[in-house]
Amino acid sequence: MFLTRHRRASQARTRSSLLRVSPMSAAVLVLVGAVLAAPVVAASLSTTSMTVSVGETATRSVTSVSGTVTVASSNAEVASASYRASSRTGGTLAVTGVAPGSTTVSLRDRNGTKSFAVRVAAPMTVTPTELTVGVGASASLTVANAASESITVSPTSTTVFAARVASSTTVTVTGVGVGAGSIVVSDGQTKVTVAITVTAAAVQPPIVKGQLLASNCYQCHGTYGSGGFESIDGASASEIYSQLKSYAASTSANSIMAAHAAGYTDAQLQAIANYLSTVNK
Amino acid sequence: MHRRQFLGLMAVGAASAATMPALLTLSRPGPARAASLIPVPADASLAGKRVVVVGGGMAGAATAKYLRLWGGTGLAVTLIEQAPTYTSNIMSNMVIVGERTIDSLAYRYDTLTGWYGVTVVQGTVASVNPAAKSVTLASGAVYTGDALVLAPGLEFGSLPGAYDVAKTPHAWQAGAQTVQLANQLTAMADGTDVVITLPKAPYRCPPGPYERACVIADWLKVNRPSSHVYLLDANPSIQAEAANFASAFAGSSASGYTVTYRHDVVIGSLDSAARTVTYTYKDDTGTVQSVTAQPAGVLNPIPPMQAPPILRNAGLCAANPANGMAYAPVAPLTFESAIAVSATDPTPRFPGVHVVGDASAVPAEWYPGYTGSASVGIPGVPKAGHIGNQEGKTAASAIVRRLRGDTTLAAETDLVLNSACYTPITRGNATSPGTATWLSAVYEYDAPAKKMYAAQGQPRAASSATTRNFSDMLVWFNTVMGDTFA
Repeated sequence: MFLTRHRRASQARTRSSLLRVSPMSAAVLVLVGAVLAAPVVAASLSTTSMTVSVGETATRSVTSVSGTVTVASSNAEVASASYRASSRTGGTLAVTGVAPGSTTVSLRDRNGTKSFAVRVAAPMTVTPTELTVGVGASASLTVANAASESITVSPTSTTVFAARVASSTTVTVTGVGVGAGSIVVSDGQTKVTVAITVTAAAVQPPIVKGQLLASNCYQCHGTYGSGGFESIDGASASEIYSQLKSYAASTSANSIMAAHAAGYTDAQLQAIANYLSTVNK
Repeated sequence: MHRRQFLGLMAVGAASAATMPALLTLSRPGPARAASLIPVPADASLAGKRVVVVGGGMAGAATAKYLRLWGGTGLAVTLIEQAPTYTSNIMSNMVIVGERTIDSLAYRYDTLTGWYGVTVVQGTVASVNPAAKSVTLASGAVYTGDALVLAPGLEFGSLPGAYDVAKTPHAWQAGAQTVQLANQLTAMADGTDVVITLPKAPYRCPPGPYERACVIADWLKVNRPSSHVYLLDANPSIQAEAANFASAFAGSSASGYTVTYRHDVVIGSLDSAARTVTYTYKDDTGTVQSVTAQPAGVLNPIPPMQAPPILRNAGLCAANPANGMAYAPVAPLTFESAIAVSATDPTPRFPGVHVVGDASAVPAEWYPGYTGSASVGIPGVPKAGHIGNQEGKTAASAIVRRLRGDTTLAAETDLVLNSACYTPITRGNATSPGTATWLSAVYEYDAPAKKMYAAQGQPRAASSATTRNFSDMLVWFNTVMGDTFA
C-alpha cells in the first residue's frame, strides 16, 4: 500500500511529464499519480534493515529528499509504513509492526527508491508464567522474542525469592522462603508477569551413578554399607576400589568376595567405590 | 565381631593380609542395627506420585523400602500384603530339624511403616488391572499407582495321584507347613525313610531341596539312625552347588551321612495318605528304572510352582518351555512387564507395571564360551530371596528415575544382579555352628540382547563345607533380612 504525504502541488506539476512507474501496481498508479520520475539521486535514509515488535512503531530520519516522498510496505498485514516531512528536504519514516513476519518497505522520491527489509517480531513471551520452586532450589524462566538484548526483572529480591537475569533468554529464580509473589519481566516493549510460589521442598537429590550397583553389597554389608559383615561405607574411593580389585583378582576357591567381585567390570567396581565413599558421611 | 568376620573373609582369600594393607584401614566396627537405619531424604519433589507394591516378601518389601530411600518423603508408597508378618523361607529348613523356631523367622512391617513411611495395607488382592496400573482387593478397595509393582510370590501346583498338601506339606512357603513337617519328622519311626521330591526347574531357591535333604539326613544320623533320605529330582542333575551336594550325599567327611539322589524322576502317582510314591528315574547308565509305591515315614513332595492367578489372569505371564509353568516375563533394566502389545508389535503392553521376585522371569543366558553342564538350572536368574531383594532395588531405582524425568534411564545399561546364599550341610546354630557352603552368581546386562548373562566364571561355590561358612551364614541371613525389612 502506498501512502503519499505532503505532496507538493508544485513538484507534482513540475515532474508530471516525466512519469514512469512501470514496476508499480495499478493501485500504486492510482495513489501516486504522476509524481515519480526516473531516479537520479535517491533520498538518504539512515537504515538498511529494521526489526520491530508487534504494535511497536520505529522511526528513522530521512534526508536529502527531493520532491514528493512515498513509502510502501510490500505486506501491510505485517507492517505499515508512513512518512512525515519536517522540511522540504527531510522528514521521518515510521514503521509500525502489525503481525509477526517479514516485509519490504520502500521509500521513493523524485530521484529514486530505497528499500529495506523489515522483520516484525512476535511479542516477548516468558514461560512458564507460574513457577513453583523449593527453598534453596533454583528454576529458570525462558524468555523468547525479547525486543532488546537487555531484559529486566523486578523485583529482584523479596523474602520469598531472588530473581536475576542470567542471559538474554533466561531469568533464574531462587527460592528464599516459603510463600508466594510475582515478578515482572520486561524487554522495554512487553511486560510479562510470572507468579512465583516457593515451597518447603528440599532440593531434589541427584541420581548418583553407582547407587544401584552399590546396592548389590547391602544384602551382606547392610543398607548403605553398614550393619552386616565389615562396614564398607565411608572409606576413600581409592581404598574401596583397591580392595575390590584385590578380591576380583583373587583365585581363592573359598572366598565369597572373590567370587562376587569377579563378576563386575573395572568401571563398575570404580563406580561402586566412588558411591560408597560418599554415603553415610 | 564385624572385624573378625571381615578378616576371616580376607584370610581365605588368595592374598594374605600383609599384601593387602588397605583392607585393614576399612576394618572398623559396624554400627549397631538400630543405628544403621537410614533416614528417608526430606525431598518433596515427587509429591503427588504414588507407587503401589503388591506383596511383602523379600522383593516387595525391598522395593517399598528403597522407593522411599531413593524417592524421598514426597513419594507415596503403598504396600499391600495379606499377612501381618513375613515368615522367612531362608533358614526355614533349620526349623524342620529343630535348630530354630518358626517365630525366629517372623519379620514385621513396623520399620517399613514407622521409619520408612511406607503405608502397609493388610489385604488380599483379588485382581490386577495392568492397563490402569491398579489392583482391586477382596474388600473391593482399589489402589492405583503411577507405577505398580507386583511381587506376589508363587502358587503351588498339584502332583499326580492322591496328592493332598494337607497331609504331605511341601513347606516351601515357610509357616504352618514348616512346623507341620518338623512335627512329622519328630513323629517318624526309626527305620522309615524321608522321601523328598522336587519339580523341574525353575522353582524357588535352586539349592534349597538339596540343602533340606542334607540337614534332614544330618538329623536322622543322630535321631533316627536306621532311617534314610531319598531325594527324587525331576531334573537331570543337581541344580546348584552340584559338587558340594554330591560330596555330601556320598558321605563326605563334612557330612557323615548319605542321601540317595535320583534324577530324571517322573512321578507316576503319589499317595499322601499312604505316604507312598510311584515313579521312574534314570540310573547312572541312563537306563530308566521304575519304583512302585515306595513307602515313606515322611513324604515331602515339593510341587511345581508358578506365578499366582492374579498375574496369570491379568495377561502378565507366559509359559516357561522348560517346565510348562507360567511366569511373568520382564525387561531386566526395569523389571517392567515384557509382555508385548502383539505378536508383531514388541512394544511393552503394560508400561509402568513391574514384576519382581519369584513370579518374574528374567531373560538370561550363559556367558559366551560356557563349558559347564547345560542341564543346570542356572543361567536363568534364580528365584530366591537374596536376588529378589536386588530385583526390588532395580525396579525401585528405575521407577524413581522415571518419575523424576531422568532421561538417562533408557540409556542405562549398567545393571548387575547378584545372587548369593549360604547353605548348611550339617545342622547347627549360633552357639554350636554346623557346616555350610555358599553359592554366588553375578549376572550382568547385555544391552544388545536385552538379557542378563551369568558373568564369566559364574556361578562360583565354596570349595568345601566349613564352620566358618556356617557362622558367616548367620551374619548373611540377619543382614539380608535387615536390608529388606529394617
